[in-house]
Amino acid sequence: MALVLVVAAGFVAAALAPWAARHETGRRWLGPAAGALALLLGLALLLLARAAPEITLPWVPPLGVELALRLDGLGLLFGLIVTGVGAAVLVYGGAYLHDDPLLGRFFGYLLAFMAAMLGLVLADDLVTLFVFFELTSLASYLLIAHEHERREARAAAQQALLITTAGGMCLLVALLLVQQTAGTLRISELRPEVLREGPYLAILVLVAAAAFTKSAQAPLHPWLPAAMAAPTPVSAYLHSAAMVKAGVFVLARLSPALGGTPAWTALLGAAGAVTAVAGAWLALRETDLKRVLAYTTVSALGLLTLLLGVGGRWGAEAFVAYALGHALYKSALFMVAGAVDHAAGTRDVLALRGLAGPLPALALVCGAAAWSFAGLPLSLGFVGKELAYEAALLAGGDLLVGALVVAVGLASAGMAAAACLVAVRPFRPRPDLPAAEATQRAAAHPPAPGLWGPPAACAAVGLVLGVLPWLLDPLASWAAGSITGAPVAAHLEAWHGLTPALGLSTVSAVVGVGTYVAWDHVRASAPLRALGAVLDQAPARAYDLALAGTLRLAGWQTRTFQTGNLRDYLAVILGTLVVLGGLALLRVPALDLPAREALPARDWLVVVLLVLAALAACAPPVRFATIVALSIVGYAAALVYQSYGAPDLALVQVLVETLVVILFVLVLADLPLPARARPRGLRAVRDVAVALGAGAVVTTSMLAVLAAPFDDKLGRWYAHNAVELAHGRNVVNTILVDFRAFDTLGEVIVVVVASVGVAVLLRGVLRAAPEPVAGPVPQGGVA
Amino acid sequence: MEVVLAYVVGALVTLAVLLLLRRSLVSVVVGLLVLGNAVNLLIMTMGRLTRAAPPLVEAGAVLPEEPFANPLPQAFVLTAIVINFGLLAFSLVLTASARAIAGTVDPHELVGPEDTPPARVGGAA
Repeated sequence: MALVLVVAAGFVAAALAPWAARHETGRRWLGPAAGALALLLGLALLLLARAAPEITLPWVPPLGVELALRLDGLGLLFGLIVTGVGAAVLVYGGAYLHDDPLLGRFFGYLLAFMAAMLGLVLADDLVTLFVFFELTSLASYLLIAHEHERREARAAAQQALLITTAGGMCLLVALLLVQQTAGTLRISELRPEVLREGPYLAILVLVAAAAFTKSAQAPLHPWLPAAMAAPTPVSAYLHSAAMVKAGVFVLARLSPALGGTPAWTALLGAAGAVTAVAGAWLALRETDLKRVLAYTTVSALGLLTLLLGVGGRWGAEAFVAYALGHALYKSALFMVAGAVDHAAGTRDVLALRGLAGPLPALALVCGAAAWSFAGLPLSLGFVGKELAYEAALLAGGDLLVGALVVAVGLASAGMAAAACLVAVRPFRPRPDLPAAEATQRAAAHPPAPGLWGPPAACAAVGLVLGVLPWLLDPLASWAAGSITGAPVAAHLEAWHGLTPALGLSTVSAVVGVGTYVAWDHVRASAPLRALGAVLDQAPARAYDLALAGTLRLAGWQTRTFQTGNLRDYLAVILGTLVVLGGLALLRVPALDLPAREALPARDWLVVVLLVLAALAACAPPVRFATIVALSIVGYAAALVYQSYGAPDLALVQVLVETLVVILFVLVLADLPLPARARPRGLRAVRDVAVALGAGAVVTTSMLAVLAAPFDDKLGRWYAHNAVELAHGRNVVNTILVDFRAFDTLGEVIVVVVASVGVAVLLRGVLRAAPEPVAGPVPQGGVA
Repeated sequence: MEVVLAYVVGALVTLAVLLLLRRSLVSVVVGLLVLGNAVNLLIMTMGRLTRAAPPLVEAGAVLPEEPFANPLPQAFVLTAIVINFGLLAFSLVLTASARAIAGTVDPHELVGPEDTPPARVGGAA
């Protein structure tokens, strides 16, 4: 129950936030209060961890869907990231948006997101997981569109929503396949042997599609840089630490069940490697601090995917250390970027220089976070990267090792360069140049403590854990164990000695720094431009085309089907009936019809009369003869009823038919009505085809039913119980007024309502046309 | 007879659909009437036909004399006939008021009422 409370607390707080933001005091304390709540929830998770609780509440029992929550190592790791980074970002967000009129709404969404994220990481039921997965997408949409007056923000929000929910749909299909294969939705009960028997590849690809969209794997990543249109706290939380990790989290969560196969390694390894390298180097084309960080987030997510693909003990350990390290430094850097923006009025690297003078605290925080970002020793980033190298070096197969090492190395080098770009270039004192405009503005707008305190906390935790990584051993062991599905005794060290990994680290750091020094040339170099064209502009263009295409398809469909014309609607509806009914009938085997009995001449006469009269009624225009023909149809039907044991029906039919004729003549006195132009050309062909099809489908289905044996149990039951239960001798009557009396009551009500309507309308009609008119009555002839 | 009626009902449905697709509300009403008759015959036929044996119980008896016609489709059709009549009466009068007020029974010319509100029917008084 405690787990349910942890998740629910966030949602309750989300509901209260807008209310709290209505008062000035509430606005000031909203950030710190929300941050405290997040810390409390994190603490609660830590305290609960020892008991490893799980809870299962029935949700949709007939479908086997349960609200199942379970706290394990992986859940605890991500839960702590979500609440820990969340606490920092919430405090920061309060300071960042202190004068935003929509502060309450913003916090509502942010807290709801946190709760959804906690639900996701604790979920032990696939449907529960899916629901929270989608909730995080929804929260992301609302948060990106926070500045909804900006077209750019709306487009970015839409793109993020469409891409991530498309992935969510894949996840839904995957979980249905899993349920069909494994017979359970409980994640902890999934057995890899069982899943590999079933449609394993389909499940894997669908799960990977969900994770790749959510975790922005190339080429599905363009939504993430675009999402930088969101306010900076959102970028720091959702688009670096939490939501984008949901994708890799799902992969990690399912890796005991799905992982370890060649297909898994190939898919995740390839996607992760491409993304890791591309993200890091694409970042170097950007000059907006947030976009630089966004692309390196893409790279980090690629690296995490790659590590899951490599798998095994080393892969899992590296994943844990890297995920935590990245969450800490990247959220800190985003918050710094926002603070710089606040102070200097721009985030453009080219316009920023010498900020260390006016903003020493920010410079220090940025440097501390970037230390970890660059993967320099004594930081959690270093620990994670060393483990990543280890994992790559220990992967089986020379070719694989080579490819993985190159990927990790290239990604690390690019990230090191990006780290310098973010942390050195804007802050380095440049006494040789005149003070930039931005620097002067920054000196006049020193950031509030709420803007540099939270990132300082994140960066500091990253450094402390980098120096004393063994503090993480219990958590890392437990989390790595959840990923591999077997107990792992992780031991994280700040210093591994002179290993090959250290050598590779040194090489990548040197390459990174060298790249930074030559950044002005690298930025516009041909290889980077080509990389951008293939992996960045092409997917973005594909998205635009797909969106425009969908809209055009929708427009075409609406114009084609929603013509506003009754006949077209009818034709489409009936046409659908014909096609679907026809398809269903095609599967009926050859009909075994009852033997043809000799029909008496009377029956033939009635039947022929029926068809001929209907034909006559069909001939336009509607004139008096039409009405006569119509009544013949009705009377002929009455004759059929009369012949086949339904005298009541015959009676009612005759009565009703007579009333119809009277009504027709009364209402449409001036017959014949002027004939309308008959449909011509294609339209006429369509009408005839639909009509013939409808008739054929009806006849064929009737024949199919007649060929099947008939069960008259129900009719017999009524007949046998009419006297005893209903005290009536006319069985039909007992059904109507006793057995199914409510039906009849409903019917009576319908008739009453119809007659009231007729009476009201008729008054208007008779008044409107006091004399028989030859031509159409002019518009407004009512008065 | 059942097989013959299957073809008859098919023919009636064809004609009714042709009427429904025509460009006059009066034709649509006529089509509705034909379609109603067709469907009633369909329901009767699907419950199988028994000649000249209404499901009645003789005075003094508890069970009807075998064989007897299936009473259930009859009950359905009885309801359907009456409902059909209600529907028909309403749509007929509706058509007539469209003609009286808008001067046309062509659904084509009746489209677009969102832009120009039609004269109120009951407001004639």
